Amino acid sequence: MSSTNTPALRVKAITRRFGNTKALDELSFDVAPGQIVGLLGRNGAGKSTLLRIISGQLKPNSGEAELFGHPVFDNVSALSGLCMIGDTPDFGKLSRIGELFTVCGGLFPTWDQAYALRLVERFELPMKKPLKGFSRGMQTALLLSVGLASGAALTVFDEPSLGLDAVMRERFYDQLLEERSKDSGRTFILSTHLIDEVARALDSAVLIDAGHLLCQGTVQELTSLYLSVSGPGDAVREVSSGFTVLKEEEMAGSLVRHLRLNTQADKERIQSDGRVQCAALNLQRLFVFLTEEKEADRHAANA
Amino acid sequence: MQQTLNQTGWYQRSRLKGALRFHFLKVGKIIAWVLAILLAAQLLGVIIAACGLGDYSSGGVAAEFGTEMVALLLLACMLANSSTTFLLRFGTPRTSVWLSNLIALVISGLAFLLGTLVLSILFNYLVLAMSTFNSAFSVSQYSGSLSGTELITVTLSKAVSQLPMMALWTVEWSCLFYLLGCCLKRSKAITLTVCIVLPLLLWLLMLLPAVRQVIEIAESGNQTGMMVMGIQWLGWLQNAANFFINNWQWIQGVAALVSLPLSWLCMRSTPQP
Repeated sequence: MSSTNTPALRVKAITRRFGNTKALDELSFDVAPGQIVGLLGRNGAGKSTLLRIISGQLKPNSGEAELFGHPVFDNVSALSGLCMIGDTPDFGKLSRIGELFTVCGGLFPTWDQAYALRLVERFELPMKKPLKGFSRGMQTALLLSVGLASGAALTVFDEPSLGLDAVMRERFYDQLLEERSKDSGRTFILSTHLIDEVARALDSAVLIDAGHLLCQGTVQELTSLYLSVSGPGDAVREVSSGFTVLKEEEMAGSLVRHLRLNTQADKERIQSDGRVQCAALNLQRLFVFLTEEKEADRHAANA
Repeated sequence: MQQTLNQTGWYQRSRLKGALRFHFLKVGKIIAWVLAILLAAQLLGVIIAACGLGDYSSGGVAAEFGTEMVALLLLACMLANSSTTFLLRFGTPRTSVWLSNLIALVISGLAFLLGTLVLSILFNYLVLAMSTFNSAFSVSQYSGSLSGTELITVTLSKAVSQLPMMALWTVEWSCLFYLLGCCLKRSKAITLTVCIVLPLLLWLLMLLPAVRQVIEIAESGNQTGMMVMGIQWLGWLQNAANFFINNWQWIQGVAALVSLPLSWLCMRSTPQP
């Protein structure tokens, strides 16, 4: 299908409008093969619209999406390697898990029936129960099983945690990590709100806001130049001068500042300063700060 | 994994295999249920007659083409709507979905046709057997002299000889109904306007000059003129009817062929799901 240098997904300047609303605005990014990538964004950021475009359900107004070097829309070469698991459970009025797996065995050339059955057991799903009697969580778990067992080169999960309890969510992330450890070359994209929870399974993340790309990179790259600094007010203000302060908080008499640094050397210098305590910024907090910063910029621009 | 994918044929990579499996499971069940309901209805009639509560008369062997057309129309709308949505959600290419829908529609129509023919044969022979010891049962024509075994033989022979033509009509109407289903999915309002309001409007526009002419002649009191006009109308209607009767097979066939790329384009450009 393609060489290993070809990105699993390439989004090229995609714009999509719905009436007067621009859901996606000149969005571009690449996803390398063999990674677990988080697609993160607020409600209404354009994640689901983007996923519908890359799965061929929707056409962009301009720009293009490519899967493994092939344009997506109605293209067998592109779509044969894709498995799209949406956030809306739809089993096509099939009655039982067995029927769904029979259909999936035909839809996905790399379908692994034995693995699918193991996943059904792992997610504690009843094989004989009619699908229309499944709870929301069971429906989600079944769809996740389909996605994992599809064996597709690129598997996309839109909100994979909807309705799932904490135990099942952890089992899903464990399965993802197990897939990665097999070195099968499969690529996974997870679109989710539960950033902190899924961060441990991610190799990289793409953050979008209001249809624009906010930032992209490995989790380490994204958070490397961000730091939470806390301690006496004077000390914190001194060490943080010259850097962008994303947020400032007062907690139990200490001042806490969340900073965007310029270089790694800055980070090392601050961390070695004994007057303040430092903590790494996690992906979720980073995402919140960046989107709030962007929103503030938009308000300022409008004003 | 890429090597495995490259080794699979187009039939599997295009997901046509999976789409047809889905249709076989879903549409196959619907057809089976409808045939079962028809069977149950016929059995009920037989039981009622056997209990002496009424008569049961069978008019000979025939496939239920009319019922099949209704079933095809409903199936076409379902395939263009919920079935397409299900397949597209997993990232199935649109051309594969379109092709699988058409194939499923044709096969289900043919299966229904054959199923009703088989049911008709079974029930005619059952009624014939029952008629030997129960006068409530009979195999006879509503208007005609044939009855019993002779009627079954003649009608069976006729039904079998008509099968190829009915099969062709099934294929053609499947294409047309599927186009209608795709258009309804794309825009219900525009489709219903085009299918119902537009022909009605054209019919009215056609009738208006004729009505005006009738009023003028009636007002003038010219009876000869009215007779001539009436004969002219009859002649025109007869010509139109002859044209459609003589050329209907071609009209139907060409319309079905034209509907194929139209339904593909319509389905391909419909934002769905």
